[in-house]
Parts: sequence; structure tokens; C-alpha cells
Amino acid sequence: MNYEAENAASSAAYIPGAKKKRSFWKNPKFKFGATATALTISFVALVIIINVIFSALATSYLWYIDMTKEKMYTISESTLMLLDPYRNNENVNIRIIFCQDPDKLEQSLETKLVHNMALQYEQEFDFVKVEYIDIVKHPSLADPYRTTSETNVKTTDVIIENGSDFRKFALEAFYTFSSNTGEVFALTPSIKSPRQSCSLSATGQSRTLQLAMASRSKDRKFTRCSKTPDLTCAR
Amino acid sequence: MLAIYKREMLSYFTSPIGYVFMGVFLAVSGFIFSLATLQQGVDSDVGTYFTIMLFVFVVVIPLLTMKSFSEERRSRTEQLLLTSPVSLFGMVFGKFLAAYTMFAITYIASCFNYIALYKFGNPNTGQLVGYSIAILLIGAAFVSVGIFISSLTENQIIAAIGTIAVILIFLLASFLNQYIDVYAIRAVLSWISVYSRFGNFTHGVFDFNAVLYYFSISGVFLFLTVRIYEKRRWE
Repeated sequence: MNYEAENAASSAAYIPGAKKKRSFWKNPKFKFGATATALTISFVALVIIINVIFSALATSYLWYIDMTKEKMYTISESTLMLLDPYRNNENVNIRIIFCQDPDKLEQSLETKLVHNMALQYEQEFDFVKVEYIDIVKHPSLADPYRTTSETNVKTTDVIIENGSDFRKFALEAFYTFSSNTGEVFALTPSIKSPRQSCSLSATGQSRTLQLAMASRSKDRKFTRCSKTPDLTCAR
Repeated sequence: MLAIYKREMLSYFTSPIGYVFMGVFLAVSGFIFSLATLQQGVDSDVGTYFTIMLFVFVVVIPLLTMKSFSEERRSRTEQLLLTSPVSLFGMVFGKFLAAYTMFAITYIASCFNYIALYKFGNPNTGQLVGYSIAILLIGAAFVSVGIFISSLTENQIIAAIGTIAVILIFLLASFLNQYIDVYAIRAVLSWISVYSRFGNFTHGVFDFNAVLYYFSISGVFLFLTVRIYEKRRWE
């Protein structure tokens, strides 16, 4: 009896024209032909889109882990404390302007670190904005930052602007290096000491911002920054 | 999948390929490690070593992957694989996993080099772990590229040369940037470049964006290999 039932069922399965339900993945259309090609392209496109979105988010929100012993890619507590009072100050509107495209700033350790610090400031403080100008392609963009006709603006320079005031810094102003060998102390993880780290994160970066913020003052004498006694800011 | 994995692993040790791969990898990595760290007097910065190793992968990874599918096609055992009771994904992933196991075991064996670094220097363990994760992910990406290229041809030499070419494109895409003036194109090339993304790790940053990208390359090329075999099975 059971045999007959099985036989009937198997015969029914082979009735010509009988429609069998196939899952999408087992459908021949999925396995080859235009649909398969479209599906492959869609998959690759989806992966690219996910990567682009994640990339944009990671760049905006600085998703990374700082693996350096000295936490060179992290704003120090002292810097945060120093700049905290300026958060609600309407007169403070800092623009950190790099003179080349962002991808070129990622090419060397020195430019990368300074650029990264600027991005961290931008993310942490609403009054800081990071901008880029290509002075090779558009030399006229550097004109507002030439104080005299002889002033030379280089691609590695960093301009810090607050309102109508600005300061132009050479990249070397942000780190310590040996004048004899040119070896960078403050940015090289292998030879950087904790003291130098403190010097970079607590003073080097903050000094720049402090200079820009303090530059609203018309006083052009040498000024000693109040919270960082080791700094002398030329005005 | 497990049967294919075991068979592949066995094949690496019943032919000279496994021994040649491990021998060349360990000898070259040991030599470069010594050259880039101890002999340079650099006792803790291993960035140069890992960067050179990326280019060593261009040569050694095709050794592992060139025979995966090419050999099956040449020896006509591909039909057996295609009609065996294993899913295509299982077949492709089994082969990938075997090649990747060889790569990962050899890389982990090469980590004994670091003992010398700990004895004579002061390396940053966190950074070493970050580098290692990145190298293992890049290895996975390159192995999947090799597996894909191997599925396209029955000639092992062509598979090896093809893999070298594609890996070189992934590595060197950003090297064209210095000749390109358009930022958008440079950004795309930097985005594609494995070398450019690895730069963050050499600077002490564990970049989640790069991690996702390496996973994506592996996923896309394995998917494409499955699609190639899906098409071939039905043809």
C-alpha cells in the first residue's frame, strides 16, 4: 500500500508540465544569464556603497584606535581643559586652513599627524573648522594670507584664522626636531619620550589655537600665554 | 567543505609548493626583519618591515593559490568537484581556507622574529598586534584574489602572473597619484590602494575603515569565484 502511494507520488512528480516550486537561489535564471550578471554587479556595487558610506562615517567621526604608546592621535586632557572655556564664545570662530588637498596630507607622518589633530579639534569643538585650499592650482587663494608681496605661502603651511586675523605656520612649528640631523622627535613613536609627548599634545597644538584666538588683541608685543607658562607667543 | 579543506591541506604537503612557500616566506621575512630593524639600529619601529613584507606577498601568495583551481581543470578533476555533494561556496571556501591557513600559520611562525625585538628593544605590543591583524587581513584579501584568478585559467603560470598583476594594482594604485592633478581621481586611487590604507597602520593608527575594505576584497573575490563556478557548472 505504502509502495503504491510512493510510486504515485513519484509519478506525479514527473508529470510533464507540472510546475515545481523552486527557491530563488536554485532558479536557473539566478545561476546564469543576464539576471546572474546583474546580481553579481549588484553585489559588488553594494559592497562598494557600504565601504563608501563607512569610509565617510569613519572620516567624519574619526573611527580608529590610537595604538601609539604616547597617544599621539588623541587630544590630551590638558588641551581639552584649556580650550573648554571658548566653547560658548561667539567671538571665537577658528578656521584651520591647509594649503593642499587632504589626500596629500596623509602621505607623510608629520603632515598626517598635524592634519589629524586639526580634524580632532574640529570634531571636539564647534568653533573650529578645517578647510583646504589648493594653492598650486589656485595660487590666488593664498593671496589673502600674504602679508607682504615677498611673503611665500608653501603647500605645507598651515593657516589659522579667526575672523579677520590669521597666523601662518610652517609645518615644523607643530613638532620638535633636531636641527643637526633633521630627525623628528615629537612625532616618531620609537624615539618619542613621554615628556616630549606632553610637549606636543599639551602645548604644541594648543599654542596654535591660542595664538589664533589671542590674535584678536591688537598688542603686538611678546606675550606669555597664561595657562602654559613655557610658551612665548610672538605677536 | 571540510573534506575539500583537508584534501587541499594535504596537497600542499604532498607537493613541494607548501614547503617552498613556507621556506621562502620565513627566510625572506627573517632577512627583511633583520635588515629593517636590528641592522638599522631601529629597535621598536617595525613599520618598514611590514611595508616591505606587503611587496613580498606579491610573489609568495601566488605560489599558494596558483594551483587551487587551475590544477583541477588541467587534470580534469574539476568535473568531480562540480558534481560532488558539496555546495559551490563550500568548495571555494574550503580551498580558500586551506590556502589561508598555510599563509596564517607561516606568518605566525615568522612572529618569532619579534623575540629579538623584545630582547634588544622596546616595541609597542599594541602596535605589533595591530600590524599583525592588518597583515592577516591583507593576506586573506590577496589569497582570495589568487583563488579567483586561478579559477579563470587552467595554466598555473598564467594564474600566478595574473595574481601578481592584480595584487600589484591593488598595492600600487596610489603611486599614480603624484602624476594626477584631479583630486577626485586621486581620492579614488587612494581608496582602492591597499598600500595607502596600510599607511595608517604604519603610523600607529588601527583603521577600521581599512579593516572593512580588506574584508570586502576577500568577500567580493570569493563571491566572484563562486559565480564563475556556478556559471561553469550549468554550462
